[in-house]
Amino acid sequence: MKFYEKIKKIDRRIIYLLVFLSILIPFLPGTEFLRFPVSSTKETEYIFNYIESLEKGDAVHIDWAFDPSVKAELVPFFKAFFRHCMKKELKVFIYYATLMGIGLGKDAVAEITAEDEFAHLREGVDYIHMEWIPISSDIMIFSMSTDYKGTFKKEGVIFDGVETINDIGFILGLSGSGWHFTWVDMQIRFGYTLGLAVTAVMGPDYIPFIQTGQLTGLSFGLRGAAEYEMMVSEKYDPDGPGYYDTATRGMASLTLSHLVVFGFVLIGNIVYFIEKKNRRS
Amino acid sequence: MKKEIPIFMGLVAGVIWYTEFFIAGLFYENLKLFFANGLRIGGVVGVMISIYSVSRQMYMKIKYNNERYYSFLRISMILLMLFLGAKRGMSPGTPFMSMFMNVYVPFQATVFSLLAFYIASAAYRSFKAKSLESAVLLVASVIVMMGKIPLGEAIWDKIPLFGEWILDAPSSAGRRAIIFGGYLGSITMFIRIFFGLERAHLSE
Amino acid sequence: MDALLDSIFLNNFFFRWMPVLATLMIMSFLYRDNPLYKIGENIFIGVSLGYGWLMSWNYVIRPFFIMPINDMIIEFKASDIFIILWFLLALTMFFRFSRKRGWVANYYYGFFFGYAAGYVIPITVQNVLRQSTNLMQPLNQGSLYESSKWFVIIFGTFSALMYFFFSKPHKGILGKTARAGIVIMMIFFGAAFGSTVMGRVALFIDRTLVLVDHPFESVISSLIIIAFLIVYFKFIKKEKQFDDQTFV
Repeated sequence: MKFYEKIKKIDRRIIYLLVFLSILIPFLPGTEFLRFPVSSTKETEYIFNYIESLEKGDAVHIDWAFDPSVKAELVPFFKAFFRHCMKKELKVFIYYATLMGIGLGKDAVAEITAEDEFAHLREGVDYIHMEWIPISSDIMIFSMSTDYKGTFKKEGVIFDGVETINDIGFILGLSGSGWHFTWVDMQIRFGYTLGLAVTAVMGPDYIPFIQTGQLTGLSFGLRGAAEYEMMVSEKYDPDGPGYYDTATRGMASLTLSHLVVFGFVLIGNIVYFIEKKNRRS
Repeated sequence: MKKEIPIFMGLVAGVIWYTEFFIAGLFYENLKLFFANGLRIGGVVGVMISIYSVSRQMYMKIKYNNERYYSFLRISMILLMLFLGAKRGMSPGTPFMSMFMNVYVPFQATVFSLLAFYIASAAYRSFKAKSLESAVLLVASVIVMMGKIPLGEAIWDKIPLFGEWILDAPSSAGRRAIIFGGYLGSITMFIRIFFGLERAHLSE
Repeated sequence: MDALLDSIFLNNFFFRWMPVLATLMIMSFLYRDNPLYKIGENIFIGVSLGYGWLMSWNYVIRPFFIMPINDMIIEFKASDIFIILWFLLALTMFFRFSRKRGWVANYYYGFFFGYAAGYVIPITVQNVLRQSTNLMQPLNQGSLYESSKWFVIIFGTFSALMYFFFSKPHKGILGKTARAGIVIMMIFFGAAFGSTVMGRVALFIDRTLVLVDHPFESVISSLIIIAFLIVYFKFIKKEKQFDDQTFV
């Protein structure tokens, strides 16, 4: 068997092992040279700047529409975003569109409020979990003129001054599917401000809506979360340790594993062209 | 009777909602509330249906499964969860939520994360420049990936701009064409449903 | 009893070992299908069903089905008749599972799709108009970089749409435009593939973080799992033939 044939029929488990190592190695000590700084892209900056333009006491509605399967990409963004809102002293309403997300969201918030800096936050005052109620997004929106608090049947000081969804300053959607296309479609009719944090897989599907103005900002998966962590840290804690979290930690792995994937694509193509040449001759 | 009445009901509801787009007023506000209640009830029943159908599927699997030990394991886990939830509640910090965060979440997240390995293997085996189109696909994806990883901007600070250009211009154009197709298709589809020409959603 | 449950499920041992074990058990599938993976899979299905049932009971059925009925029994109001009617209409959905009386479900589906049609049509038309008007941009966008973007978007969208235009054979100018359209679509799929790789890798990065944060547990668990796999495939289940190419 020739060398390129051996390479072509390589055991899949060797590929898996290389991918695994490429993700694992950047976490080991002594690999700091793999950690490159992350700069922000304009889509994520739109979300950050919009939140910056809100004033103390404005309301933010989060539509949490994912389950643990894609938590790796979206929970880091949620944490960075939540910290930012708390720094700006905004009121955060978290609505869960899936039952499987409720535990995940409560746990993420509990992790943040366990930190000393955010220990003073109280549910019902600074933020509230609105859990699940049987609405799909369209019904939610045609209750735009109806009672926001009454719809969710929750109590708290946080609802003061928020009567309908028109009083919400910013809506953030978190999803790993096409769930938010409905929200995007309805945006023209109702004119709310909508930003999305989606998994990288769904990212390119939402880009045209930024250009048409239906979306105010879009974050792409883990990379978007790392950018947001960077922006929040540089703004609110430029000299201290900052608010860097799992997303920033994962960036080095992202680099190395992509290099490995590039390597595979390159080898696959070289083998393909050698084979093609041999077949011709 | 089996189809005509449902189609007529749909037509009436459709006409009401179609005109709602153009007409404002107290009458429509009250109607919205009325419909909102009804559709919420529909949502509740929808969840009940999904539970019923998943449970029925599970029952069938356990009934006709040869691997009895695994079925036993599965059922004991269901009972354990029900017991924990009923006994100690479901708020954060209870055994029920601990099972969710430490057992359910790692399992589900890992099952999905295996896709990372499969996509690398798939890229190796089938991502080849066999024609102009596939070469374009390959180059575009490599540029987008280079633009997104931190190494790209460390090599040359203009690389992210290339990635952004690909995403914002040609990729967005391709997506826009698909969006147009989708919108026009859904308009035709819903007009057909409106007039009862499309009956695929109704059973015999 | 409560204290016993808490001591089993709420201690550091459980918090540290369970996520690591769960991750490694599922990952052992990458080597080959094995009993450890199957045990993990069945635990996962069991836990998810138990969790799903209780969550739906707590957040869906009890507050929105049992409570309203309970209120009705205590004090019946005239407006409750509508709730009952809505429930009757929605509950017809259950007839979908019946072979003979499946048509009863048509009442809800017919109503719902009609409503959706009326609601969606105007909004979709709005979106088509927004997408079309957004393509009408001034040629000068400030910089060459931005202007080139819009040049490609406008002509790219047009040529990709021409690819789906089947009323005329794809020859001559139309053929060339359609060909450019395919290239544009391919760039979109390429970008989507690039993002997919990024997304999938990110999912595994999260799992690796769990392993890295618990180094002792990870090393011990991996050793145990590798030892098990060796013993299982060497001595218990001896299969020489294994077609590697069937799995990607």
